[in-house]
Amino acid sequence: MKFLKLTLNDIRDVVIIFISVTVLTVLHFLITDFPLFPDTTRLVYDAGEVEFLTPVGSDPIDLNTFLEIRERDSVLIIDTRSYEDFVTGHIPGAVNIPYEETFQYLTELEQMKNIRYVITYCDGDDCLSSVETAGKLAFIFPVVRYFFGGWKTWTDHGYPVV
Amino acid sequence: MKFMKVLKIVCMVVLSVTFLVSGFAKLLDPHAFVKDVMNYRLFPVQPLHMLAVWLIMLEIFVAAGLWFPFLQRGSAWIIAGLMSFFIILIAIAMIRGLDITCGCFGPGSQKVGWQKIFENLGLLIMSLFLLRPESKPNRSHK
Repeated sequence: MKFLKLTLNDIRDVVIIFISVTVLTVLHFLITDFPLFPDTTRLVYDAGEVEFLTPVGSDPIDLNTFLEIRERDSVLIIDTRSYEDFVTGHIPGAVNIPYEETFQYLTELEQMKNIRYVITYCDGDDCLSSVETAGKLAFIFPVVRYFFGGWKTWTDHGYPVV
Repeated sequence: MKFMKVLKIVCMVVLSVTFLVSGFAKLLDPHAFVKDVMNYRLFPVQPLHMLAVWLIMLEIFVAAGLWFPFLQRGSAWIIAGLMSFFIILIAIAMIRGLDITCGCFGPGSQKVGWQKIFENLGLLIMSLFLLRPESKPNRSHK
């Protein structure tokens, strides 16, 4: 198409813009405390290895750690999936707080002073509601983790559901 | 034609305001933007901070560049490229069934979906409109 003709001047302008933007980016890193490289967490699971941005105040845990923490006292397991998914099947002992409704339950959660460990989970390793909820609850409970793999990992390994 | 000139100004204002708002919203909380980009699960983690800040600066720069005749076409080309890139990213996220926010305007952005694709498509068409030969600014060095 005629109007999409990329001229040498256009290319030169684009290069000038890219160079200017790169200079601005370098200046940004020099004058702010925004780190050049992110703080990350590596997690090994059945299908391989994945690298996360380390969430503020909460970390991912794998199935083995989940099973271990689950046996402790003062644990609250939160299923962040929808109500429909929850009633279809969930990990025994879990309560349902759909991600969108987290804020509605904050007052109630804040009153649960006896809870020390909170573990959130959602559908699998592609959902983010457990991560988001864990990030919010990290300000309320001493230890908040999200179960990476969640419901899919739990059922894939044949653990009981209710 | 006067109508085309007015249309050109409208496109410039819409693109410029959109990119300025988007850029500065992300600049206020680059961590949130990095998280949004990370959620697409398409990029390596380590260079994400550099990529995010570079992208934010690019958005702000091209938003301003549209108003400078000598940078206008370059900015329009980059906006067209960015929009095409974002449309592809959102489409991939939709195909993969990712339930994520698009990260278009920093924290609190809308979720990926057809609406975002059509919005970006509109901005893409506007940027291509600015690349018409009639809209080519007079260059002093020519």
